[in-house]
Amino acid sequence: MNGVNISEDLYQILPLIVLWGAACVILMGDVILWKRSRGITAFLSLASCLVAMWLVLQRVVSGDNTSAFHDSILNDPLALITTIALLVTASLSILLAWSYLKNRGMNHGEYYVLLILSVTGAMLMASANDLIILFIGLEILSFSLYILAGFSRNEVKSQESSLKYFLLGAFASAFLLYGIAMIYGGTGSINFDVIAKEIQGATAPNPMLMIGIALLLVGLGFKAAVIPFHQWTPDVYEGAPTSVTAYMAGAAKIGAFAAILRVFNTLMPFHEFWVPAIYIIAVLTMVFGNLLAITQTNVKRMLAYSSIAHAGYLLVAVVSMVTSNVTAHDQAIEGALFYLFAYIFMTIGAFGVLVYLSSHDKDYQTFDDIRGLARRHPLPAYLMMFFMLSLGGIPPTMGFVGKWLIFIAAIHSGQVGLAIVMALVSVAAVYYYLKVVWMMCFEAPTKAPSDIPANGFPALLSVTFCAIATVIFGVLPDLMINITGLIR
Amino acid sequence: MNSIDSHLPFLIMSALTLGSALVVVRVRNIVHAGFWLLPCFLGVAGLYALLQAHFFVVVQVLIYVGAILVLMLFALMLTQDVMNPNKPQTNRMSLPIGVFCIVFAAGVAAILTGHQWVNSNAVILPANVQTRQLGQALIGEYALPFEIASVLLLAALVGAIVLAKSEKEPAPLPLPTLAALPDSKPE
Amino acid sequence: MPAVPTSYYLGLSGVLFTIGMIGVLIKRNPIVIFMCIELMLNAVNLSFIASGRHFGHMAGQMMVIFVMAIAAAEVAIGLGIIVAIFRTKETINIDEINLLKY
Repeated sequence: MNGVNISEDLYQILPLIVLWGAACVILMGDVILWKRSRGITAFLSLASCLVAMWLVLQRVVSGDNTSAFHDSILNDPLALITTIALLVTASLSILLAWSYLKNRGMNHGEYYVLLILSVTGAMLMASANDLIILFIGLEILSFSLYILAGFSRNEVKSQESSLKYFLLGAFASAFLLYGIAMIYGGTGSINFDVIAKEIQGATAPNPMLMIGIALLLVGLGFKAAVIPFHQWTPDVYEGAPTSVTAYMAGAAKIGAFAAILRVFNTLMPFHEFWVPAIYIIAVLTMVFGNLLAITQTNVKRMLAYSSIAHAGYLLVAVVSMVTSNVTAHDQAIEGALFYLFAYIFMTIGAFGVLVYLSSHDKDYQTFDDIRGLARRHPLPAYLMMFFMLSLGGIPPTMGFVGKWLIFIAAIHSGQVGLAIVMALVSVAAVYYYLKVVWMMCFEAPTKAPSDIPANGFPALLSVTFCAIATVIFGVLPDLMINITGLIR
Repeated sequence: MNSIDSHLPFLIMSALTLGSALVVVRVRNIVHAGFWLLPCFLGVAGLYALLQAHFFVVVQVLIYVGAILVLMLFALMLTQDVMNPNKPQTNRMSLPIGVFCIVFAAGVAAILTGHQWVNSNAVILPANVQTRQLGQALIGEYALPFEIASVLLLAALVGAIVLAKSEKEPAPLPLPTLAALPDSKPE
Repeated sequence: MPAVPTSYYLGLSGVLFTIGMIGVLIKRNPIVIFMCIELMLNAVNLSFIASGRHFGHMAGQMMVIFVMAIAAAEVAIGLGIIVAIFRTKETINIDEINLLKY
């Protein structure tokens, strides 16, 4: 719009600039100034995330809703709320990594730099109003995650997960890009506003646009880990260091769903074309995500499948977005945003307990590790139990409220079949979450009760915060709905 | 006939590109595969020339041939055991995947060639004007992507440092347990 | 002299993309898989430039610049990962890298 007024444009991306500046300072300072004393590095990264979050919150309160950089960035409520979710994820993950990295012998300052850079990538995805920005943001996020997944260089498993993630990720990026190329060919633009204008009044996409949408769905579906593009998820989640898994499970999914919501909101006129596709993917994801989770014997893998299943619930919200009823449309987006928050608190909390328990030489992750945990370490065990109940969607937790909101939205927009499938699989899913609880509380420990959780205060703080948030927003969902309701 | 004549450069370039791409996929010796990428990339550069995207002809040669291909050949040399051409290089699923992909290709190609283009009377600008416009757009309308691409390169740089850092570097706080790591790499 | 229609270029890019896709799906060596991904990206670039010429504006060409920059960075990262894993395991054959199974 006004390329002259560059300061206004820069103001719009101020949180990003803060984080980029912090990343550079940390990168250099870690080597030159404070000589790799990691407390400072971790503290500074956390502080920069909190400052950025404060800036975003200010913008939410002031309620200005402007685009910048020739309409390629749009800071609407949807973008701001997902950005907050991303920054919360990043802050919690930094706390989790604080002593975990030290204990596992991979305490390099680059970890925090990559984490901050990747969260800026996801933030760009969230506020992108342009397929270029969307794509570059996605790549910033992915590159950092490829490296973070292989960060534990003593472990072959970690490196393999990095390689797998990289190869499949690059493959998916190629699909995404080809999708963008086709959309460009079909509409003559890569800007969402122009595309929306271009397709106004049309009811069916031209063939080229059709391929474009399908390929874009493949690329984004890969990032969001939905079936059938999920093959990398369990492997990467299991192989990556647990603190990275926690972060990846949160950030990648939020970024991908922010992009999915934006893209398919733009492509609303063609809903007859893409709704069936997402409908099928949603059903597959919910059903098989939960079924495969039941057979796992490793908590990290089980949580990976559970995160796939949760992506399915979010897709239900995406489908419910399609309705002539404006209230139901907003309700669906609100439900999706609420669920994203619920998802990050529950998932980071659950992975966080594993991080907290991991010792110097071993990651906590198999069922044997957690058997009888309640007797050895009551506090983390009860926190874990709590997250499991929330993931399973037992009332008064945030997980229940999130599912309920999406369920209601689906009913209101006429997707009764999808709502029923969702309810049924959620009930089935309770089984494997409760299995973990049972194992922790009622089975005899298979390990000597000698190991003391090594990862100390910051990790515990992060986990406790997740637990408190899960309860508070579970009991008083209005607090969160007031925020997510800003999209109206 | 006239049409064939005027399409001749296009046909040659596409034959070069597709032919060498097929060889890359089919050839057993992976060093040969690497070298066959060269004509493929050059063929694409030729197609850019036909499309009068002059700047991209140069960039294609510089980046793909000059940087990417050379890096790949380096990586091939560094990982030697895979150069043995007697090892099977494809997995067992080749046939069904191939059939599936050929169907996919036929579908996509049919749709794309049948696409009804909106008639546009775009004028092709001469090379110097085109390139100047490109540069101006890069620091004007597309300033933000340009900047965040540099963030991406920073992330890649940090990542490369992390990957390349020697594991023998002593940990800043030598923990006694580190030595006892069962799977620590003997080097 | 009639110019070659844009749709020919797009058809060509579709075929090139598919050749790359076949390669990714059937090959075992990560470096070759990666080469095939580069083929796919070349197909993408070709279709961007062809559509860009058709519409006569910058966006398509601009996209190609970024795709190339990202492809170059991707090579650096990818080959770094591959070489690192080779140092640890002495093999990079994708079927032998199987600690993580379904």
